[in-house]
Amino acid sequence: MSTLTTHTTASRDSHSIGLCKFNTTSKAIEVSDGNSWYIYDYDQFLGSYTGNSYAVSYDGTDDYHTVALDGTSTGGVLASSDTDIALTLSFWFKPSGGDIFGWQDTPTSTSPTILFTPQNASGTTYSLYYAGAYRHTFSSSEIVVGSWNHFMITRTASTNTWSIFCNGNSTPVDTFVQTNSLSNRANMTNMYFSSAYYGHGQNVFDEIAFWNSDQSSNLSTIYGSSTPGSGSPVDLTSSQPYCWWRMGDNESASNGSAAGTITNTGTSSTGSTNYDLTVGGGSPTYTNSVV
Amino acid sequence: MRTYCIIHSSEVSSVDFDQVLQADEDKLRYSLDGTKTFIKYEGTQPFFLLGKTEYTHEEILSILSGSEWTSDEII
Repeated sequence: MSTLTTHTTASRDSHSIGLCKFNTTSKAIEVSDGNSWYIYDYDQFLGSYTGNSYAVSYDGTDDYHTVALDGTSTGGVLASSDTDIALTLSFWFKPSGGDIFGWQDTPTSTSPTILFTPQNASGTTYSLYYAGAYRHTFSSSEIVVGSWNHFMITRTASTNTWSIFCNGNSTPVDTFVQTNSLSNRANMTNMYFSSAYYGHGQNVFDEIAFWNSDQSSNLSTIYGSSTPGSGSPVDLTSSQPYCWWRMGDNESASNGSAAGTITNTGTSSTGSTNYDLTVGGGSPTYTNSVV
Repeated sequence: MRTYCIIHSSEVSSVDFDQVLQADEDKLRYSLDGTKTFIKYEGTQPFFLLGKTEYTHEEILSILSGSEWTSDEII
């Protein structure tokens, strides 16, 4: 691998046709035509990938993180037209009981957009609510209690098809073709991790990523292996998630310390809204028990 | 190891949040009728909780799964 040499805006190198430099002031690539510098600026800075050393643990009593990721039609993170809505949510999690995830207006909303919970308040058989109903109950081999699992849900804009993927298997465990409208979209205001309709979950979460596009064709890239069941979290920088919460790996984390605000390192992190995860309740902690 | 104590909602004002794991009043979870909440901490029981029953993680999970704290209504 070759490395570009550098200069700064204040002290650029002398011109030479084809000379290519990395400007350490502006972080742009600059190419000289002999007289002028042609500047190729970056789109986003995604931070540097530092490997996966931490996850976040929720004790199941009152711990949860939330983010105001507004998917409603009035200026949300999704397309304003119901016919153009595509999305992907991917995360690693180790469940031990209780709620997993919700995208809804309040934690106890009875009109959620997505809800990932046990079948009842005390159960450990998980079901997924989306497109206006509970549509899939996971088998014990699809979601293994007490083990790390990878979950990915996608929706296409072209056919309004939802697909649910578990542990890197390219065959969805569930699909559903919806009409154009996204059910309960008006309530799609907050994401909740380790909390949803029934209360709170005893879980560990790692490497949560969201795209406002369909990433089903990139499943193996996101999962980290072409072989189902043998993947592990990978550097998602090249996949350019809109939001990417590393769950401690870009924070000053230590095992057992309080997991406060989790920084969004996705492409949206340089926008006007940070989309960081904040503690909604309780006291989640970092753990070095990772996938 | 975390320890848990249930208190009445009226006692929240006496909680010193520097001595417990929850950051502030807004991070507490309340019973469905709003009359109770719980505090969690590590190490010695804080002075303002003296006399309160201490619960282990397993014990508090069992309590919280009951109808007083968790709705069993199905969507």
